[in-house]
Amino acid sequence: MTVIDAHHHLWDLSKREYDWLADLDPIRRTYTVADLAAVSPATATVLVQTIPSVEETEEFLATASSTPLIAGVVGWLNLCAPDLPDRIAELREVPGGAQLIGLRHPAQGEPDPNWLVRQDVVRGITAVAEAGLTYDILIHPQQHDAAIALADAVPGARFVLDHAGKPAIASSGYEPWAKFLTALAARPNVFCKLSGLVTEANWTEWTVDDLRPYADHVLESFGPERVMFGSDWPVCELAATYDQVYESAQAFTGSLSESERADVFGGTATRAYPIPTPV
Amino acid sequence: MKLGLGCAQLGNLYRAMSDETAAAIVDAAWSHGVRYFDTAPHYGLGLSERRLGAALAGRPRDEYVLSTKVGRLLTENPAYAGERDTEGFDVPATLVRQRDYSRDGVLRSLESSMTRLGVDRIDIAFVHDAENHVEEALAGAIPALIELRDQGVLSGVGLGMNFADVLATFVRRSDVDTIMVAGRYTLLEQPALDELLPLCVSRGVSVMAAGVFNSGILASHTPGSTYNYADAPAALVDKARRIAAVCDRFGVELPAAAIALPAVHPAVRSVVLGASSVSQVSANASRAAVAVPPALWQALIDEGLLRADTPVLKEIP
Repeated sequence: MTVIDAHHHLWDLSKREYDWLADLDPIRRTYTVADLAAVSPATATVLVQTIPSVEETEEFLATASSTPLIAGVVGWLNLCAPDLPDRIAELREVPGGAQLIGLRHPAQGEPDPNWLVRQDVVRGITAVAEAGLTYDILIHPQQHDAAIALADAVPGARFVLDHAGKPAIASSGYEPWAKFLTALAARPNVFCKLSGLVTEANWTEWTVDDLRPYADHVLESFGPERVMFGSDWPVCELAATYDQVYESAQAFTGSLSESERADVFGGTATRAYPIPTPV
Repeated sequence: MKLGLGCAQLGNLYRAMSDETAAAIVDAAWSHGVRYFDTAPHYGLGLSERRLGAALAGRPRDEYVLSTKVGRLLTENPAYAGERDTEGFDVPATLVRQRDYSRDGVLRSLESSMTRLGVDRIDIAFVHDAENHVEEALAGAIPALIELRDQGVLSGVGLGMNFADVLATFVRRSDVDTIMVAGRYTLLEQPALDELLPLCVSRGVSVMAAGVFNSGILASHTPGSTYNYADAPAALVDKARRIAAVCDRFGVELPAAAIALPAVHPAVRSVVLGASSVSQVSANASRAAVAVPPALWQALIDEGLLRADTPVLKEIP
């Protein structure tokens, strides 16, 4: 059976410091492709950037080119760069460049709640779309409105909402997240990742039932044909093993039809991203 | 996480401790990876320094960092007739503390600290509790210590106290490189964000965060009742309870969050925790190993329980 893990990471502490890992002792170690293969049942994966670094993206592309398991890379480029189209073209020339399927310049790292609809950002995302790439949206709650406005501003772009928009599960923050998700799902050019939920819950005491209302709402609002499973491994290890995350996704999709499950665990990713190799 | 061991308890702070317990506390801290130890002549009229020195004896001097303080010279108590110390330590008052922030006083104080510690060098010297001796310390103690640093005798020079604004004055007006702020940058209150910590970041001054439990109120998951070495005001206990309730949602114990908050500040080099037993050392080490979800800090900010300018927002990708 085909299983695409549409969202995971890797990092190599021998190459550099990762600021965001500084206080996350449980996952502050190098994670390799071999580590991934040891825990993941996926037949294909999407490797996503972790830091704002072209160097990391080039490393990921090289890794993807030598790793059949990794089908594509969502990399980083500065969206505000005026010569973004040239930079995208350059990135496609590096080893593994053909496996660049999307870009992410995490809005959650930008303090401006309206960063996503700033003129230079919209121009950048338009360039991403014109290059045939998908844009991954990673936001914090103050940026909900901007994400919706962005989807309207660039109707020709393909967007993927990472981690279902990071609902505040630990704080039982179903609203206003749920309304936001419904509104964003009304935009046909947006896909949604069923990922990252365990790390928004209580890391030590979460249960599948804590996550279920959020997962249900993702599936109901976007429909399985626009929802894709992502493990968010190794970040998920802060709260859960890869297996636990995968099994919880199986539980959330247990009542779907076989073809709907095939969408969540594969088909959707191939439509949301220009994944180059047949999987 | 870089934990330090604060050694006031080794000087019989509030209650007596046996020599064996003191040694076992240092041993336990060492085995948990602690390599920074802070003491002062004030703590038990030299008892803390003697016990710390005895416990560290035999360990390679280059493998740990040692700080002590200056500003209180210990001299014979000519009137001693069996009294106990009146400044919080359960020790006989055979010595008296003589405030001295002069150049000469500081040099003598360091000499006698090295004797009590049984070491031939101290890494960091803090001018202790100089809030009422600012000009004297700026003219005497600080330049004397900086001279020792220039000569390579000390690697770090600074001040330790409970007053963030006075510490900021010293950082602005002198070339100190390390400060110890006690109780003013905690999960309960962050006045050090007003000026001190931004100043330390911009001037490259390292910060040792002490008193992170605010004298006990944050030391257990159910907030305690002491604050700033005294009974806690009801409003603060209430605030601590609300913070604990937010921590609950994330499955994080209050003391773990209290250790993590100062640790994530870019200026903070070490979080210094005291212990009155071996089990407290272990408990603190476990708490320090807890990874706190960034969303917890955001929840505290959203509920008005943490200043919005607290630098904690390291979002995970």
